[in-house]
Amino acid sequence: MRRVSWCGWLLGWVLLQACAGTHAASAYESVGSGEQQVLALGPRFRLPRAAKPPAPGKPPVAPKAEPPPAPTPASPASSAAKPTATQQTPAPRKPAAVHPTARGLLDPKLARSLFDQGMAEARKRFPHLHGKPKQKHHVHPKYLGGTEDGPTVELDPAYHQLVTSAFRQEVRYGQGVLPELGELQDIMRRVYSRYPLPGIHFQP
Amino acid sequence: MREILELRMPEEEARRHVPPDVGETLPLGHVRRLLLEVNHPLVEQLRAIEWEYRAQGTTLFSMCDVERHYTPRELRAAEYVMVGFWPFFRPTGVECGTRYDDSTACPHCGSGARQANELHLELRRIPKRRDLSITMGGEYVITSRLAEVLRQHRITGYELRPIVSRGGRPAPEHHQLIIPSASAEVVPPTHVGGSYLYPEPDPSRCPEGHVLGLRLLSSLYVPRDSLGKQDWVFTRQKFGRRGGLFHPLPRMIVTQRLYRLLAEQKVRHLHAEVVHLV
Repeated sequence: MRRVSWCGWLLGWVLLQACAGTHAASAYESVGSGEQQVLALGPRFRLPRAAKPPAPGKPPVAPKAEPPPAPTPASPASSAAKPTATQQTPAPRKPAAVHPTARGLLDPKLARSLFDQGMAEARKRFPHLHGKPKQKHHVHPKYLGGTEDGPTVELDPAYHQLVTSAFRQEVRYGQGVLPELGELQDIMRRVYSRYPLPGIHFQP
Repeated sequence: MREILELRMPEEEARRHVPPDVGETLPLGHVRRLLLEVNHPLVEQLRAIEWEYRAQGTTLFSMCDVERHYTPRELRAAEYVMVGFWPFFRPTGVECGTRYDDSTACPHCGSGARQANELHLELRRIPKRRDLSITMGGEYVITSRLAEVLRQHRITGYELRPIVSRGGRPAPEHHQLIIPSASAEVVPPTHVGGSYLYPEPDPSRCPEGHVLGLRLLSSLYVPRDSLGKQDWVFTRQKFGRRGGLFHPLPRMIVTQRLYRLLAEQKVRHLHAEVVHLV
């Protein structure tokens, strides 16, 4: 087989683990502090801010990033590749404190509650699908580069449609170009933090 | 020509960085979609914010695509036109029994694998109202009707191969469209990169030069002498990255004569862009 290679399978597995939180604890924000800390499925993953924000007058520097290419006259993107000091930058945000012992764990109760909310939303939006035979959902959607034999989860068709719609709102369906790997991970985290999967984020 | 940047970002982030009257919130309420001209002042602000996110190892946008829109007059005046037929359909040939010989593929980018048998597809899933369509795996399908029109107009630079069902039943209404020539060189100032707001680094580039990058970020520039005399030609370099059923694909360039014919035939989902000759 050409495109269903072992490395693709491996990628799918790693992403599955990332969504499950076993390898990517930082995908979730922590709530509370100390022993009472509970890991929640946050709406968006935020890494702690850099200790020192970019100095005024200098563009922020990406870690391990090669310097941007030399500007070309007919390439609008390259000519504006470096932001200037006069541009607005977002207000500094506090880093999310992650308890060391809580790394890699999810709160299954919260995931369950989000799933129940999602099911209610799915029933409301897609009543014609609710209760029909369960469908297999590819954890890494195929239109985002997932493999045919990648990990799947059985979902109610209405919830499946809701998750699919959420993905398609993040990235339009049918384009010939895949998102970058980093973008893809962020998309999956965002979608599954709103609509968790039974058997992955909590025990059904 | 208008260059429109389509950005999609979480609604929560959009409330912090974008005025409320810019863009639209998509139906589920979690994603804001912005359609901005590339010279809109907000684009540079968002670029700076995206740089900051990238420095922290994440990204603000789930989608960041630039599309170029040409007027009919501009397209009619062009000598060569780049065409595309998105959106794709599924299942792909690989899912239906088409085999590819990976021994000829590039070990870095995976491009160059040869098709080893007839194109197998699920026939009822081929779009019925489209004369030209493409699978997620980059296989082109053309109807017999359009193929006959191309033959009558003596269009050159293509081959037709049969399509069969999963079980091997022939599909007389459709053919696989093959473009044998991939001679068009993509040259500067064509701009290619990871995303419009953060083009570098782009890890999808092939060290062997098969893949130029993830996305085409500007108009296409091609030397005239690399185009040959055929009506239909692919670019030598490809765009995109390998993942699942996807693999990097070349861009399709047609002559003005063929573009007009496709437009006359009302080929649906025909996306056209002017090719600049250098």
